[in-house]
Amino acid sequence: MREHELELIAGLAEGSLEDESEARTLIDSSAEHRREYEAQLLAIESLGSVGVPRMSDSERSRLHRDVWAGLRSETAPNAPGVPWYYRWAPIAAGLLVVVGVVTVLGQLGGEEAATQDLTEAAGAPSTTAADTAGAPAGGESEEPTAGDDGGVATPLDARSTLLYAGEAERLRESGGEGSAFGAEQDDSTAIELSECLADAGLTGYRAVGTIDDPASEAVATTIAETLLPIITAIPEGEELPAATIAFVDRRTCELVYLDG
Amino acid sequence: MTTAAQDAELLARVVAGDHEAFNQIMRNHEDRVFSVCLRIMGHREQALDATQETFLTAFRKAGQFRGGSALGTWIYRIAVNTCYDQLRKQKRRRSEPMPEHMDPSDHAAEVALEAAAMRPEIQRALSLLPPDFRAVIVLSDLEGMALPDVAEVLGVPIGTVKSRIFRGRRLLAEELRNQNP
Repeated sequence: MREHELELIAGLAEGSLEDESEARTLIDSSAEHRREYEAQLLAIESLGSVGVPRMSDSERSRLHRDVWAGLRSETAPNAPGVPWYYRWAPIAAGLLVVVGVVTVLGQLGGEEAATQDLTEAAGAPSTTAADTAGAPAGGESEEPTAGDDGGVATPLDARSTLLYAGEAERLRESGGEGSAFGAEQDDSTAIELSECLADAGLTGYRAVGTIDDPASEAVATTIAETLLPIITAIPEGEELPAATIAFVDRRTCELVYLDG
Repeated sequence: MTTAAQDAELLARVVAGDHEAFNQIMRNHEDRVFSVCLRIMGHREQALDATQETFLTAFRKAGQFRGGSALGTWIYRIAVNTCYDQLRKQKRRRSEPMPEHMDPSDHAAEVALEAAAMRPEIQRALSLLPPDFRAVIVLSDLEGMALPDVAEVLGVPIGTVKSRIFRGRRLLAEELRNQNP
């Protein structure tokens, strides 16, 4: 069968011909042409009966979360192309600080005293993810517990504890500057954050912001470089200045620090 | 501002590191990319993976987009190529045919699928077509793309697109008849 004939027959089946007489003559001329027409018609009608597939809300949320996790891992400071010393500088600096602090405090009163002082220096009652195991901070029923299906990160080192505690204090004082949502935050982002908090075991919490802009002058350079990306959340019904602040890793949806 | 100009501006912002611009591109195209991937892959989970990979690739290659085609066309080309890649990997792994199924615990997805009314016999017949034929049928007859756009997405002449559509429909009809003799 020639291409022109096939086009005519397909056009007739599609209903896209202005003048159908030539095509109708053609399909009446032989059984082969008639069979071709019937095949085209059957396929078009069958395909026409198919609906439009849509993503479910959970699929859409998962897509967004996975894409953003992928993008963050590709654009993170330790992605390929970043000088090697840049990857190790924050770790080396952290180790130096920890060694220095422990040495000084150890001289004053031993290791135990050093640990206590670090906790106090971190700001009022603060809790790392490891500390939340089985004991809700603040005693409220809405507080997260390690028994939830949310992930619990590895214990933070002293420097990270100080950074998070400092960031929590800064957020309370500034009313969330550097962490608040932009006006453009959409429903899918809200769903993503909400599911991430649930994954972290933070039921009864609401996200109040994200820390994912290294260029933000409001966020401490150290925390922006080392702890991205973070979701900040507080218990429902509480206001930021007086609330417990939870820090959740947006890539893994694990609770990394609970302050307050 | 024209759509092309808006697309160019969005991509320029993406290249400059504006994640919100990329978010907007995703929102504009994710439903259709998912639909194309689902119909080519025939499996929601794999379609979701392909959709994710499509947008990651688009982000990585944003700086290479020259505006020779519409942004959507460029993204659908990435989507089709991503699906081809995944189908090739599946073939190497000799995986079983790809029914359109989903996690039974995902009730919302189940409802969405029912609403989509993707008849299983048609999906099965579609999955048996050679990928080149399947792609043109999906883009043209299911997604309603114009032939020049299909040709651009697939990177083949319009004549080839027409030929694959006619033959693809013929094969599809044969498969449907075989299922319901």
